Amino acid sequence: MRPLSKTDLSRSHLSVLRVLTSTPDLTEQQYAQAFDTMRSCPNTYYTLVIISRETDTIVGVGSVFLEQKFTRNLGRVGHIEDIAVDKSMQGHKLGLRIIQALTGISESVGCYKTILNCNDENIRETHLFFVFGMFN
Amino acid sequence: MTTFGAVSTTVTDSADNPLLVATFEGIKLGKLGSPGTVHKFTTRTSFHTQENKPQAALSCNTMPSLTPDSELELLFSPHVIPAEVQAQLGSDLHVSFCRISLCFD
Repeated sequence: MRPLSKTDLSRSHLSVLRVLTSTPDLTEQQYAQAFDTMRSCPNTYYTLVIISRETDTIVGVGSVFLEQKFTRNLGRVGHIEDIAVDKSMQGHKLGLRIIQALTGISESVGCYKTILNCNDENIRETHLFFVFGMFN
Repeated sequence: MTTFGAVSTTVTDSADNPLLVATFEGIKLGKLGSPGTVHKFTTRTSFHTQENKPQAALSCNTMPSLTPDSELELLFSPHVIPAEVQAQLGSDLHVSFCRISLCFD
């Protein structure tokens, strides 16, 4: 598991995200530009990837971004987004590990709460995660 | 549970024409703590052959190995990733791919 890299387009990043939702192809330039945009906002975007050691390709991804608030004494909230695991690797609790890592990051940088956002289709899995820790 | 990937073998003649292609795909299931235990193994194999020749050189090309973090431009410092989560991940993720080419002179 490591942070997203600027060259992860070539490691199937978008293919894994397609498991989750519509993700059209990007050129290397578009991908790098989006990466630079995120990196230009320090301490805001944290995207993790799980890599297959043998193939050097991404098998799982997830993000948390930090929202600055005026309330709670200028507190911050972590929003977990875009958890996706390659179909061939589902059932290995990789999604759970990603959420645990993102929650850990959110807490370590001082967020007073962390919100997991998901679409209607994934509500069941999200519920299972919070109740039983069974997320794939 | 451990997942085993695929092995693909291609035999070519001296002009690099494919004489035989064999692909093996399987799943290896093992208990936690004894990942070498094989409970189930399935293969799917396909062959394409022509009349031809004896054996000669053998070369094995593996898929690219993991690029070290030090060679990558990362979005943030990896040190903020909780170590305990990294440790839990280790034994859960095993994917092996190997591609072998046999070349006949």
